[in-house]
Amino acid sequence: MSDPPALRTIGLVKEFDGVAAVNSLDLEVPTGSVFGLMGPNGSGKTTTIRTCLGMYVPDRGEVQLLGARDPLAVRYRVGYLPEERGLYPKMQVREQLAFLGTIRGLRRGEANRRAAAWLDRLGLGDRSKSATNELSKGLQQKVQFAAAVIHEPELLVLDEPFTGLDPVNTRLLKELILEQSDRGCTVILSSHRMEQVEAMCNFVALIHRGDLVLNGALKDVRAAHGHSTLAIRYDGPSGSLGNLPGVAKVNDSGQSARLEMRAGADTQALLRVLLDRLTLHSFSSEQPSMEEIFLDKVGPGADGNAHMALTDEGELVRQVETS
Amino acid sequence: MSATQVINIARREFIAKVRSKWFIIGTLLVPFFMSMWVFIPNLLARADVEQLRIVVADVGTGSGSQIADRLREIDDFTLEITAVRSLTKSQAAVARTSLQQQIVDESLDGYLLLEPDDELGIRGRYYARATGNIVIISALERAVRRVALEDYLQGSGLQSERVNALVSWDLEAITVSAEGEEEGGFRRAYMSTVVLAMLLYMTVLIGGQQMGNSIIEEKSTRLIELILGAVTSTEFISGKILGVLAASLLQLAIWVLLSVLVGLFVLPALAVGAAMQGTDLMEFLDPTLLFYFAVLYLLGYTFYSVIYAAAASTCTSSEELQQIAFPLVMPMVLSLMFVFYAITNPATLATRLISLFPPTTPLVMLARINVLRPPLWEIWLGILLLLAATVALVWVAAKMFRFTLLMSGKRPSLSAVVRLIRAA
Repeated sequence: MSDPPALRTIGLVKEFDGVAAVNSLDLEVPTGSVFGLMGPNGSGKTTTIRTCLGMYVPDRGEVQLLGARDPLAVRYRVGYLPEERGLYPKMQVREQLAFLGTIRGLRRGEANRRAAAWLDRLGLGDRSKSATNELSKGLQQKVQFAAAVIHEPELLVLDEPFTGLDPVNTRLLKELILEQSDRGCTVILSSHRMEQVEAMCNFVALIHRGDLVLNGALKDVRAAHGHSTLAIRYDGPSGSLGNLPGVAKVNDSGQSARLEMRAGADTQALLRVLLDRLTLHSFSSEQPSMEEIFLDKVGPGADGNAHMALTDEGELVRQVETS
Repeated sequence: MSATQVINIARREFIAKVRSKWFIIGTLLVPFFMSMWVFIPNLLARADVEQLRIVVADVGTGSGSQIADRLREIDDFTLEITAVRSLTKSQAAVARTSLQQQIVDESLDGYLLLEPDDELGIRGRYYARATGNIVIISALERAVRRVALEDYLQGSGLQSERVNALVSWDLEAITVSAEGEEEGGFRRAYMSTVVLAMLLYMTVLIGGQQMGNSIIEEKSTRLIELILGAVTSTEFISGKILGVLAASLLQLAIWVLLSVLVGLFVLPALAVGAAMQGTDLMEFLDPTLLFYFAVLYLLGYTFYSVIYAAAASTCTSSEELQQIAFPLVMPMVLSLMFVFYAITNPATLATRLISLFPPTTPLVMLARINVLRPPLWEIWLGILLLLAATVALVWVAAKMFRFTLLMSGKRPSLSAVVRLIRAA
């Protein structure tokens, strides 16, 4: 790639009270990419972001943000939506948005103009003079997003952007983010809910306990890690899924099953065997999800008595056995 | 540090403060209450004054009517001498019983009983339904004393005016300096310093708490991380402090303007000025003194406001702030004690050092300027040190703000603060 990366960290270390929150992190976010920074809660995503944006001073290592060693030098070219976010409750909506534009380097007149335009776009044109705390939470979140992009940054960093959003607003926000990407803006998305962001990303990094577990283009990561899965619906005698060629593991639910295939296994050969043995209603070949890859890398057994698990909501959590 | 960012933050803070309803209420209410404080006793005294009916009962001094005349001479006075009765000793007991009865009946408010006295010439006693009115008491006292003195001096060749003047004579103190001679001295130095102290103390208590709250507020809006992505904590805290300062100085300017207007137009119209003649305001209108007063006030106010800001940076609630801020503004109170020492010993090393110690500079330096003007370099060294200390405090406040905000919710221990300052 000819363009220098939008963000690069080299051996980045950030410790709190002697405990490394970010541990020797080498990260590269290609310019123009939508980059997913994933990992469970407490894995060091927010610390990584804050250190890269200059809010924390790294203990060791180096950060290059848009090619600059000093994040302060490029602060007007970066947009940031932190996980902990709010707005001045009493301030008028448009003034607030314009203010947040001016601290990202816009002149006051230009900031006012863009703030008004954004509010019109978000359907808040008639609320521009309202006090911010009169807006619903969802509307405030739209304003916060507008504040992060009002100065048309080259790099947009979003820390857990979907937290607390309903499905409608989640979809709207995804559209707004992809629109920024279409504009040519590099987007870094951090999330502990991988299924929410992996569809949007073309590059990913997985962090676990401050360590980088995976990093690269999504398709390469998928190809290199984990196995493809064949999902089938069938009728047939029990036990007919035993001893299949190229299959590492079978999850049989009676009427349907997921067959995890070994790397390099021949799907066509497997299908032929299956057609001989049972009535096949449907089949589909599925790529492993980031969650599966993640669990595969750091899941049960990967680190002592603690392991990752999926909750019912599809949230990745770290479980520590007490025994 | 980018000045644009500081101005952006300051501008927002200023507008938010000035538009808040507490600013508007405070700006109007404080002068209102202050003027009430001046006017109400005065207006009350005018509007609803009891006309006291008093009888002068002279039991053998012969000065009764003279004293009654003295009392009637007093302008703007609410005493009505309904009768002067000359009584013999034998009549006195009966007369007093009847006067007492009149007081009980409320046809009379009181009587002044005058009797001869070996030592004083005339001894007066005031019998009345209410004896709490200190103005009446002292007026009666003066009238009796004056007449007794005149009686005593009668025929001795001594002039009673002269004796009065001698008794109330004050030593004039004139300050000699390179700029010439100047009246005043202890009284002026002490008065102007006390005025500065009061102004500083009152405005710092109000403004400091506001400053602290607006810093603590930032932690609860949770907008701060978004801002700190674009603005350094030093820019942010500096802007915040400037914005709050600008708003409170605007408020103060409005108050001063209102007071001046009231002083120029309203007070003379109401003739309230007489009550304030005790403090000669003209003494403070020496331009040099006024200049230093303004400079030291502004710097002192800024310094102590920044102390509040620094303290607030480590707090999560305004209750917490109140607990830790009090010890921090103690130097302001302590410097009042130093002021007395500084005025009586303006040239000692101790005074000079105390006046160069930033927390005590505003008051002690002003006292020194008043009494024995220090060399110019010393005044400006004090001002510079105060300014430097303020800037250093802003820096410390910014570091602590960032530290407590992003590291954890709890307040840093003292050792953590020290480590932080060393590391930064």
